[in-house]
Parts: sequence; structure tokens; C-alpha cells
Amino acid sequence: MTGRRWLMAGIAAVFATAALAPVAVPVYDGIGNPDEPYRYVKPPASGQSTKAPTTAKIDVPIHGSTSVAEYANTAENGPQLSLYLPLGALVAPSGTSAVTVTAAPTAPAAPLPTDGTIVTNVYDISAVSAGKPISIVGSGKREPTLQMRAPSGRQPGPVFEHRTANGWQREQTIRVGVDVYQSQVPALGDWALVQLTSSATAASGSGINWGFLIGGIALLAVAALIVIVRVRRAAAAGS
Amino acid sequence: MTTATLAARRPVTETIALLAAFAGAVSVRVAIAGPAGAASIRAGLVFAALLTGVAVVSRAGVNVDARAVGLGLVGVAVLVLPVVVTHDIGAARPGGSFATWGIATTVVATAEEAFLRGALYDAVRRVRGVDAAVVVGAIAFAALHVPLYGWRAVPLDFAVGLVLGALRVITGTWTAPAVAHVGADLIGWWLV
Repeated sequence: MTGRRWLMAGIAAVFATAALAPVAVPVYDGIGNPDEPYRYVKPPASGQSTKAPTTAKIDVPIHGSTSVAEYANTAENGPQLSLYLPLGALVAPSGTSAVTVTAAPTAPAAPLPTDGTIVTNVYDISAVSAGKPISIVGSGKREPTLQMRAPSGRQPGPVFEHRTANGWQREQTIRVGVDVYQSQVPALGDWALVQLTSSATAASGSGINWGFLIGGIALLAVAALIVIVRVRRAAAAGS
Repeated sequence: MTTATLAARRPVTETIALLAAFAGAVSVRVAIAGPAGAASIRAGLVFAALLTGVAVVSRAGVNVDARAVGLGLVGVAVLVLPVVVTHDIGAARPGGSFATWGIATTVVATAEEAFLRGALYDAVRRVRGVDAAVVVGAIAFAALHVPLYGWRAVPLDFAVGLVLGALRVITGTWTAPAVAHVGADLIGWWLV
């Protein structure tokens, strides 16, 4: 393929992947753009002054009685919350054209989790159509996905918890970025990242990952070894 | 082993050595960055130094000419436009100093291009041709961001790697992708 064809293919791929990305992704990098400091509704005593956190809001079109795929981000850099609603995540009464989905930040309030400390804002996620609440009906691949940014990348990181009638319930959490965590969302309501008490004391202090450092140096040594052997063989063949 | 056999093997072993060095440099960056991840300037500069060292050893020559710089600037528009069109440009700005971040970003992006579209491209092209060189460079470009941003960045970064590889093919030098990469990164300060 010629350079021009590669360029056309690359441009098409960039447009497609940028458009299809369910959440904002970092723009190409060199050094990553530093995130702005976490915006709290109610900053901790040691926290610095910031702008107010923003609300994620999206009008999700309804085709038939089923929602189409949509996503909503808060406006911080990077977003403190991203919510992805796959096709069929919501079902609205017939005649409904859209459902308004909102994720609004609030300060943590009692009852609080018993297994740890909320380290982010609590986000109240709701879906409304014609003034009436709408519930999530999608499951499996049709279940919404929630990503939230923690105030830091400290490890062990926090986990998602969701407020239910019986208190806060821990949800399966995966880390998808340095300080970004993801969970499936089986129900709307209050969601937050919680630093578990059992993991808080295990956080690393130095920040250097010695396993990666030793592994990296070993790989560099292998590369250097290959070069040395190659040079010696070339010299021997030349003589 | 004959001289001819050695000559035939040389590009293969060079490619293996380059990929091992690349993996090592990425690991060292991740190790030093710790929880700061991609925002660690110190880790980024160490990474850049390692890649630059490998590129120099591999004799990835620099060829700066007006055409390469011009096409590189076109590349900036190509890389930035899709993001501007498909995503809202946020009012929020990153924290920290643009000057410090900008200098570090320029150094790291240039080092990445000297390695990926310079040394690695040349090595893979000698073994498997131009198409493989473009694709391997794009895969490596996407892979290096996984420890920093997670898997969600892979599709877009792979696509960007293809564009940068195309600029390398068209101009015959890694200067053009370096200009495009640095420009897009710097403009990224104003993009979410």
C-alpha cells in the first residue's frame, strides 16, 4: 500500500475511532495531560479550592419504546464521571421520544458506607421522562457502564459502592486508567468510589513499582546483549 | 556461519532487540511513574532518554526539510480535527504549567517518533517491507499507552499510529510524524 493510501486509511480510522469512543480518551499523548484537581461538592479539610463539580446530562432518544446507545460525561478535565448507556438500557412508555439521564454530584451524607470512606463526590444518577422516573432494564451487554475518576492514582485503589435500601453495597470494580475505575450499573441512584478500610493502610508510599523497574532493566539488558553479540559476530565475519 | 547468512539475519535480530528495548523502556516508565502514570514528567523524560539512546545506537538519521515539516503540520490538522468534530471542547484546563508540560511533551513525543518511525520502522521495513513497518509501529504506539490510559485508548492510538506511519512513508523521514505528533500533543492541552 502506498503512503497516500495508508494516510487515507489512517484518517478514516481516526475519525471512526474518535467518534465511536464511548468516553473521552486522552489525545495521543507524549506526556499525559495532567488532570485538573478533583472537584468536590464538599472539599476535605486539606483539599485545595476548586471550581464546582459539573453534572453529566444527556437526552437519550427512544425508538419504539427502547433507548438508543448514548453516553454522558461531566465537564472536568478529565471527566470525573462517564456514563455509557448501551442500546436497550432503558425502556420508556410508548409515545416517549426521549429520556433525560442525569448524574449530579452531591456531598456524602448519612448513611455512609461501613467498610470504608467515600473519596469522591456521591453521584446521583437518575432517568426521567415526562416527569416520571425510568428504571434500567438492560442486563448483560445492555447494562450501563459507569466510569469515575478518583482524586488520585494511589493503590490499592477505591471500589464502587451503590446505595441501596439496606445501605451501601460494594460492586465489582475494574481499573481502566491510572485513576479511573469502571463498574456495571444494574440500578440508578447514588454511586461513589470508596476507599476500603482494609486496603487504606496497604497503599504504597514510594510510588516506584520495583517489579516493573527490574523487568524493564532486564529487557534493556537483553537488547544490549543482542547488540553486543551482533557486533562481535559482524567483526569476526569481517576479519 | 557465512557473511551472507549473518547479513540476512541482521535485520531480524535488530528488530528483536529494538522490541525488547522498547518493552523495557515502557516498563521503566511505568515503574518510575507509579500512581502518577502518564502525568509523571520525570518518568516521561527517562523514557524519552532511553528511546533516544536506542534510536541513536540504531543510527536513525534525522532529515529535516521544508516538505517534511509542511506535511507534518498537515498531519497536526489531520490528528486534531476528528477530536474537535466528534467531542465537545471542554472549558476546563489541565492543572500545572503549560511551559513545563509543553517542553516535556515535545521531548517525549520526538523521542517516540525517533524510535517508532525511525529506528523500528527501518528495521521492520528491511525484514517485512513498508506495510509491516507501518502496522508494527502503530501497534507499538498503541501498546505503549495501555499501561498509562488502559485499553480504552488503544483503537484511537492505533489509528493515529497509522497516520504517523503514513507520513513516514510519504516523506521518507521521521521528522514529519514528529512534527505531527508534537503539534497534536501540544494542541491537546486545549482539548478534552
